[in-house]
Amino acid sequence: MLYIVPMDERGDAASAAALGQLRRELARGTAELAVLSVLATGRRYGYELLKRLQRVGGGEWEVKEGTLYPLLHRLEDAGYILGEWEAEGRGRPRKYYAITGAGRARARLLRDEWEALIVSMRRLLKKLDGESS
Amino acid sequence: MSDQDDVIRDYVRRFDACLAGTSASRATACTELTAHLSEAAAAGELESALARLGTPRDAARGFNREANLPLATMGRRLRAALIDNLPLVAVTIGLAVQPAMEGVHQTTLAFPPLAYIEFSTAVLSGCVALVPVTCGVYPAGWLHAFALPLALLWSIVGLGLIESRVGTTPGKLLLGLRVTDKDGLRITARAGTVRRLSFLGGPLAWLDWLPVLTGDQRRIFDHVAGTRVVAAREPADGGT
Repeated sequence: MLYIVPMDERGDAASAAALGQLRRELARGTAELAVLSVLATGRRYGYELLKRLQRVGGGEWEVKEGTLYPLLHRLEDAGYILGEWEAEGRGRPRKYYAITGAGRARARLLRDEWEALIVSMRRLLKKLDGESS
Repeated sequence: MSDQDDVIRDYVRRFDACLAGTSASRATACTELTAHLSEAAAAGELESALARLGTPRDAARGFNREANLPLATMGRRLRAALIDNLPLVAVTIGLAVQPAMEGVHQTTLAFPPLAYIEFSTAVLSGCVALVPVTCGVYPAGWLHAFALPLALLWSIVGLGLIESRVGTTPGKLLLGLRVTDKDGLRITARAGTVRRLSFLGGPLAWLDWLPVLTGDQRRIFDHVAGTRVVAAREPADGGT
């Protein structure tokens, strides 16, 4: 049987866009864990945190200000991080964010949940692979 | 001042115009955004940072905190409305007592007052009103001819413009309330006026609050105008 499949000349671009959307949806659930984990290594100011997330993510993390700052505000309101302005003798002040004790506990909880989820998914996928073969 | 400082200052000014928070919260958001863009500029990445942020309104969606504030309760909103609409309350009372002062033993007391315009020409006379009503319920005089239209103008247009300019009204400020759009941003003058059009319906305006019966803390005209009234802080009158 010969199947003729029409090639969409925009197939590659559409696939890349769909993959990007999928990655964003997956990353959304882990953004809080990522931010708390970076701040657990030391306090950072907003721009520095954004660049650190981009760097540590190996360029795969599309971190935007419109995502990062609402998250920082939520974490600050929840008491997981503390923001403090410092002038440092410079012309412009910087707002440094530091993780709190509650934030470290939250990060540990999120990491445990995240790792348990990965183990469960791997087990499920392996089982399904075994059933289909 | 460098060109980049000018770009940042202009962007933050337009960003500030979209915010609906208190002057303190707006100042904090502007300082935070300015600091972020200044760091990006120092790293030679201002253009990409602005591209990621989008328009000043897009940036305001991310930096404003009013989107997370709880909706205000009906009780608090009514107390604020009583203060804001005192001119209309005063006109209502005046129209109710005017007949007694003129020796007429019939009066009409309705809040919001019934809005109608009577006209008389050579070929036609009648009454124009949004709600069917018997003309002449109010005695003729300056109260009905001037004070009532002016009070309605204040309640609908005046307060609407104030809300679009500063995000609150005198009564709402006292009760710690702010008006925002669905993203927590400053509303337009059109939205500020449209959300108050129920005042033209006389006592039928109370139907605007029907959603409260189902637990929805937004009036019908809040849904029409796309607005939300949020509680930014505790009321100054010590209530809840």
